[in-house]
Amino acid sequence: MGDFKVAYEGLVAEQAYVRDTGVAQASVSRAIAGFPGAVKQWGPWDALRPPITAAFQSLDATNSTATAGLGSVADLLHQVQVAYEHTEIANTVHQ
Amino acid sequence: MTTAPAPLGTIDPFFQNAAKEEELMQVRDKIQEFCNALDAMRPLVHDTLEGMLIASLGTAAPLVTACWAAFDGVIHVAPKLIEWYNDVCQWVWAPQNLLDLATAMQPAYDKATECKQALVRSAMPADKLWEGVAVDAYYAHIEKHNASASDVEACVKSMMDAIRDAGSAGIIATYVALGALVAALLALISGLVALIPPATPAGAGLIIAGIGGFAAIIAALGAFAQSQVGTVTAMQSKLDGTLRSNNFPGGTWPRAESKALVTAVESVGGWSY
Repeated sequence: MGDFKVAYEGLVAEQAYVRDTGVAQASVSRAIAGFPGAVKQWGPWDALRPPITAAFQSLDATNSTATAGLGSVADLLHQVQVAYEHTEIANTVHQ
Repeated sequence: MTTAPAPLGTIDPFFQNAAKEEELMQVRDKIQEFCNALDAMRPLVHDTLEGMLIASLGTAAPLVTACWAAFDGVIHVAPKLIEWYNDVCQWVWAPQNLLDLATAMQPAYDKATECKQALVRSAMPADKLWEGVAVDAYYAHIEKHNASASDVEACVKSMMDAIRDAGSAGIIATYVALGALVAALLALISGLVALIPPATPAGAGLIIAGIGGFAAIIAALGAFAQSQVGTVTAMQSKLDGTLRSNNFPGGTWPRAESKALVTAVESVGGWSY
């Protein structure tokens, strides 16, 4: 049983790490919109902004898929753990 | 045992120049005041010029006309100083903002590194009792996500590097340009001193040359900046490719699906991708 619990918690931790990476990126991505005027009116920024924001958007879009993928695996493992627990309890009762 | 990390707080990037914008605007207002004063002095200067020259040189209409035209030229181009002051301010501060942005990305990079380091077998030991294809599938899953997390880490790093490079290059270019700007500024001051007749045309020439120097420097900086755009665009293109590589099937993080859970608990066979 302990193995399933560790595996489940490991996946939850993995999910949290991936989520936080996404949160950090999204925060910086949003911050671009709040740049001080010195950058907003800076001529080269018009040319630099598109590839930078596109890169952030790509990362955000990819990271948004992590939660669903990891969540499904974590749920699956949790179900397995619960199922085994029930089996163990049932076996204990039979004995 | 692995435990879930505490949720990450909101990151609020700090831009060093945000607090100084007001000061920069105050200097700009002073330059505007100078230009306004120059314009307001126009009739007075005209009369004074005329009076001084006629008193000292007698009827010197051509010289008076030349001085007048020179002074008028200075008044005409002076407002450009405001425009170029704004450009210079942006060049001095904007590259610093890019460096601040790269610094603000550090927590994202740290999290990506943490994520990669957490996704290793030794950090998630689940095979003390659990064995067979299911636990193998679990570790395969960990391995797949470790590869994806490594790619995310590399992507964040490449973004930080490209943005930092653009900011650093901008700062270096700005310092080089500032040297030239000081020379142009000295020409402007010399020209202002020489505006007093009868050297007005020569003074006006110095001022206009100084302002021309400003324009040339700003144009050169703009051309330099375009070269940095190529570097950042290359980073973005590479990042897009990485996020669509085998580690991200269909452009998403690897997703596992149950093979056999529905049949019976004992026949849990792992996952497919």
